[in-house]
Amino acid sequence: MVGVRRSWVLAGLIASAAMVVVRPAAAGYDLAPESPVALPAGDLSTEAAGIRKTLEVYVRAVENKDVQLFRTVKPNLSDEEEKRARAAFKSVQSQVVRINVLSLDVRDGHAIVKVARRDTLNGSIVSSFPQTFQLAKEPSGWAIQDIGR
Amino acid sequence: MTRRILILAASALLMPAGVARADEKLAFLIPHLFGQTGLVVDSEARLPNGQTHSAHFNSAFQAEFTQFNVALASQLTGLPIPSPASGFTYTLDPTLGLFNRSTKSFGPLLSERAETIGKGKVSVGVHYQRFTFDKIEGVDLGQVSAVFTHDNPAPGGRDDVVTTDNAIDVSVSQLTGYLNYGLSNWLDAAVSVPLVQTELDVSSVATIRRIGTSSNPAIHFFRDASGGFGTSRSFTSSGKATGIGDVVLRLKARVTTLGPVAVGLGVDGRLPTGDEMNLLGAGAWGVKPFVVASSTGKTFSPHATVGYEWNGKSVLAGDPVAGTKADLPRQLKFSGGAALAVTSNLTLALDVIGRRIFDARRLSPTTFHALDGRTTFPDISFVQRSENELSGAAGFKFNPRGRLLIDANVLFALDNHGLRDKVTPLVGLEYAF
Repeated sequence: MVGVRRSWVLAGLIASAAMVVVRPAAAGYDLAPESPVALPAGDLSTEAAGIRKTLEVYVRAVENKDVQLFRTVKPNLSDEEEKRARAAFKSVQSQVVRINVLSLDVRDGHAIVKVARRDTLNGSIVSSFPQTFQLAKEPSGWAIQDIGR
Repeated sequence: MTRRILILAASALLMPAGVARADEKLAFLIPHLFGQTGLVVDSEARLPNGQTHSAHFNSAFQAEFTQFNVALASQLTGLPIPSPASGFTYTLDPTLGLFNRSTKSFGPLLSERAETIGKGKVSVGVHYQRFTFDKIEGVDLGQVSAVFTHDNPAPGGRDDVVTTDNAIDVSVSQLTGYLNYGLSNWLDAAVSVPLVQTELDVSSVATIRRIGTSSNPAIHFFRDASGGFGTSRSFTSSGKATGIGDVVLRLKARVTTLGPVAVGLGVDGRLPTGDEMNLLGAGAWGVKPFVVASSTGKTFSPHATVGYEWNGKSVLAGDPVAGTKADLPRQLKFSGGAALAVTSNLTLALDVIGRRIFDARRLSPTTFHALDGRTTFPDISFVQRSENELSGAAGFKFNPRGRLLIDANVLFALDNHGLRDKVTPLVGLEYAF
């Protein structure tokens, strides 16, 4: 009886470990575990990887409260916006950002990226909201020109 | 302070509501101070039938000092639900995708503001307050002089009076736990549960004033230890009770915004869960609808509240000895002040807190004039009237880390009306989830 129970426990542990190691991708999304930015599945623009990289840097800038890094992906940041960004970074203790890209519309060196974003502030305050990034391709790569709802 | 909080909490857990004197509830201590039948002095005077009698003396102090119970109960009903901090709410800056704290202010301490906590959010806290009352209607509780007159006073033997110097030492400790929950983004529900410990010590020195019987001490006297005709006697009575006080339930809605001012409506419902006979609760339900207006600035956040409280019948407002109930007085409660965010971690809160108590029995110092037309003594009487009571409050909310707040406040009397404590300290902790 005890042996049977141990077997079940062992089987349960192995199954749990397998679920952790082999995480199935969420339906319709290419979930790269290490990336905070998930792209939709299917045929994507050849620019998708570059756009994703820019959004990943944006996320890293927000999470690390790094205004300089923020400026590298949004070079048109005004002085007033920079001031607001510094104030925002100061007012949160931590911020974790996860972005699911809903659609990518790339045309003539410009891209409109619609996303669903989920932020966790200070470890427990969760906020989910839609967002639209407008990007432009520059010699150094894709840069954010505008962020809106 | 911590030790006292621990003792209070432990007493509440370990013992049921009770008093040090098992046979006497605190509400009876003053009416029974001189004995179950009141103040009686010895006498060897012969009645017409030849028997001796014990002379019975009466005073407003004993007969009408229920005002003290009402005033104390009224303090217990004044227990505020601390306004939960909404300083931890954030607003999205949509053009940057970043979050900013909506306000640096953690809000008021003992008054209210219109802002709600937000859907699904929870704020819990515990506050400790200790009242050590000093005065009632400006009369020092350590020196309440009252004159007892003979039954059916008349020139002669019945002209004698008994003067009393009474000292009332009363303190109330309240450890209040509260929970505030955001039912929606505009509607909060809250509950506060107080643990109350009331301590009451009453002592009196009664002195016979032989105005009409100066030539014969045998008519009115206190038998002394040697069997002689004594003039004075001391009476003392004390007790302590601990238990749950009156639970308060609250609904508060942020209903509209007028420019920078948010307007809210709310209602408090007070349940008579405290043992009123032990002065742990008011002994009556209470309903208080209120309206609140506030403006939340980056650093300066003013607020104002006004509410009207209806109370049910309580034995404390009636006669605790006879067990008859009467209406606990209605009250108009108001407060106004501001929270000032000194830094992102520190908010100062300043408030003026007032109330108008309608048609309540009020103590009034008077001068007693004896029937001889010459002798006077300080005395008290009771009159029915409405009165305002005004207090000030100053304190701070400090955020040491995360969403933990340390609260500290002092409440101080701005006038001499009602049962007053010069300074009432408050310490507490709040946490928002």
